[in-house]
Amino acid sequence: MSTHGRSFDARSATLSFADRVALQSVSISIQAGERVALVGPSGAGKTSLLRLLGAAVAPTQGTMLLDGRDLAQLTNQQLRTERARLGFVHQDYALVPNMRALQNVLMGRLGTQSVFAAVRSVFWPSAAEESAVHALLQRVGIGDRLYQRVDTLSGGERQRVAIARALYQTPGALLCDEPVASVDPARARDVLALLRDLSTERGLTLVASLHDLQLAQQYFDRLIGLRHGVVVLDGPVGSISAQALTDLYRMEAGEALA
Amino acid sequence: MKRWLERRNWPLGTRGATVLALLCLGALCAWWLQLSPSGLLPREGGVRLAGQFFARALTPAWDYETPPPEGTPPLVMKALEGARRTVVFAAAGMSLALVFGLVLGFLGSSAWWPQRMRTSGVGPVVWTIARAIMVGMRSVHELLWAVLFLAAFGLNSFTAVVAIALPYGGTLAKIFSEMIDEAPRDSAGALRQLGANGTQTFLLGLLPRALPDMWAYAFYRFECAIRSSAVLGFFGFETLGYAIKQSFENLQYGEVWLYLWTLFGLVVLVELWAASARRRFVA
Repeated sequence: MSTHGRSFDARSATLSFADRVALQSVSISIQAGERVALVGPSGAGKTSLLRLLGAAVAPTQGTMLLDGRDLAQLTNQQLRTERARLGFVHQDYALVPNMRALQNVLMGRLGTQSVFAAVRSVFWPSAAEESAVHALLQRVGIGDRLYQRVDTLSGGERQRVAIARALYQTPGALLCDEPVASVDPARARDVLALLRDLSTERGLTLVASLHDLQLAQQYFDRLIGLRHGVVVLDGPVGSISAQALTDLYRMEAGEALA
Repeated sequence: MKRWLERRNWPLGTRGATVLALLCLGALCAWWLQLSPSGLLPREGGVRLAGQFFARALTPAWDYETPPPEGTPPLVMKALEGARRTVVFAAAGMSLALVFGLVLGFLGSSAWWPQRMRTSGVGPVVWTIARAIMVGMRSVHELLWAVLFLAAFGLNSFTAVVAIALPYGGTLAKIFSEMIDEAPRDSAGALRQLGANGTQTFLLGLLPRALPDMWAYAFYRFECAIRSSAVLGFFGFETLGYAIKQSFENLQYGEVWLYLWTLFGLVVLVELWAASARRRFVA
């Protein structure tokens, strides 16, 4: 099950939409197995950067490399294969609510299956598939929820189903969009500890966007600060001054007043 | 432009003006049709007839009101047999309609077509054709389809089944395609993100989100199909409507009421079945 972590390289990557620029000439390099927190005020471009790293969007300008391969050179089929090896945990979890936890986790393998195999697996899972999913749900702490419909689970349990779905992909990296935004403070520590442990035991690169600077410093090795789509700070947790961190948010406040 | 609209200085907004226009149109139509309250007064003898008819509502007949020929099954059995045939026609028509509805509903939904096929290639062509077929099927009422097919194929069961299946298939397709297009897209987006292809995303990420509504609507249409199937009896198909027509023409209102109560019971049964199914599927 152990996989090698994936590395990410954005080179002067700009991501613009019709009405706004989400990321402006972002250059960052994330090594395999690193644990990175993306911090910055709302609307700074954290989700956009995660989507760029997750090969969900292509940069409008610049290049995005995954394990040293330029994503722009890949065919659609190759891009699917790349995405299949990146676990993405969405902020709203994006599960199918009227299906069981088991079925939702099984959908993690869609990227490597034919339509027929996917439908067979989701509706008539083999004993081996069921026990693999059960093991993953046990690992994330909700083994007893295997056959429960997702819409009967609590928010925290749903998030764990989403994490299990990402793990079932046997990914090389976990990309998490605001994993603790809708979780209470005590649970937030549990979730971040879980993500950190998973990244250690499976050698996964971990990138998560966070609002809470304290949590970011406690559970991650490196911080990348974004503001208005620009990387304004980047470095190991210990190397970033308290002043730089307050500035990251204060500048925003000053501008809001202006 | 927008600011100019916001600072309107007439008393009615767009919504108010639309409501007013509709009211005026209603009044105009009433005038064209020369509707007057005097039309509500029953014709001579009408009151007596209606009185006789409704008087039997609570005392339906349990046996034939005039002795039937030798070997005729009891009236209650005839009613139950009519009910069975009504359900069989409705179920057959509905099954066929579901096939039409699912296929056309998928093809006519914009979510089915991947982004790149929506603007070029076969996507828009098939979508337009599917939409046109849907409109064609449901713009003709089932009774009219029955008249057309009776002329073409004569009085056989196929005629009744197809007469129900066509307009119902068109309606199901229209509603299904809208339900699919309006279903939340977040899970579909997540499956795309983990590498699923378009068909997988549609079947596992989008369709399950729309399915509970589609089920509920299909059950409602089945109830409608039972009524349609009963009414098709007036053309000679041996459903409850056929029995109702015969007894009504012979002024045997007690028998008519037994058949009507049977129909009522059928609809209630379907309603109960739908409710229990909905609890299981939608919850």
